Amino acid sequence: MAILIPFWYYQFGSVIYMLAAFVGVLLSYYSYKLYELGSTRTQLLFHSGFVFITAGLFAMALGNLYGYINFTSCQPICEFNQVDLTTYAVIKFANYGYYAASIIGYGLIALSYMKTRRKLLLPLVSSLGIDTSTFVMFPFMNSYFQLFQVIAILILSYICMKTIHNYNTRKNKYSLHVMLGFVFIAAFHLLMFLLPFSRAFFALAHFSMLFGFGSLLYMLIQVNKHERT
Amino acid sequence: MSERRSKAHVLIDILKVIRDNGRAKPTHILYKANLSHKLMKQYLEMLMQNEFIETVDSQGHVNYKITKKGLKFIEEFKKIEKFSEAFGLPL
Repeated sequence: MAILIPFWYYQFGSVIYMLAAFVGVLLSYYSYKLYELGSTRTQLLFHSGFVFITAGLFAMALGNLYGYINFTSCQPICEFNQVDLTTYAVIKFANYGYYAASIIGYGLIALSYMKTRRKLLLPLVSSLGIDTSTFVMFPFMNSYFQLFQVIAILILSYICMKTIHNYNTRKNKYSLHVMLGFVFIAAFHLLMFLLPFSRAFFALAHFSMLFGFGSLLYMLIQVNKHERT
Repeated sequence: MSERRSKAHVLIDILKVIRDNGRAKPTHILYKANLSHKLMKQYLEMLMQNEFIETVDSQGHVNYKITKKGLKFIEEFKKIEKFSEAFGLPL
């Protein structure tokens, strides 16, 4: 079976996704502490969202690492762009796991920002409508990969709007880094969506993801700084 | 319009009153934390059960004093409050 992705991707990808997953663990921990204090449904949705995102990132990191190890050990074959079916299946499984967990995670975080359940219907219906129409309109999008990016962009656009609004209200460093974090993560999906047009978007997208999770990590570090009030 | 305080916020307000005064009388807590007598009793019991505060005898009257665990809880709460504000979510 042919490998369409460059060999170095698996090493690069596993490092980036592992770093993002590490930040995801911290965010899951803090969102759990938030739920422990408040015990509201909103906080539970928010915490669950980060748990799903982290699980997806770990799946992707481990899948890439497995791919990298296997391709390294079968170098003569791999040079001819060949790989055994098991490795291919593991990578594919990790990818689909990442797609599903990320969409559920983003969705749960978006849900936690919605005050009432009725408001949920409009963005969900519109996103499904746009997804279906783009799926039909663009032949190159005829893959789960592109569909995943479109859904992720739509959900993250809503989260970005909420975090931008929060930053405009509070104007502090914490809300600024959360806003930047989600904007960069949304940019990652946008650049990945544009991947069929240029391979350069691949590296740019992953650096954008790194900046996004890096910004969220910086916010966590700032939050942990000791200040007596 | 002022928002209704969450249970966690009320607990923190009581702990801060006790911490800032070294030790506090129930009437002082009642006044400073802006609570009804019934609610204050419930919250003080909760804080006692969690070992965030302890009673001290002061000339035959019961006073409350914050414990190390209580001080740590205030610090943890501040972090989580900043975290929730960063995302724009209510605590």
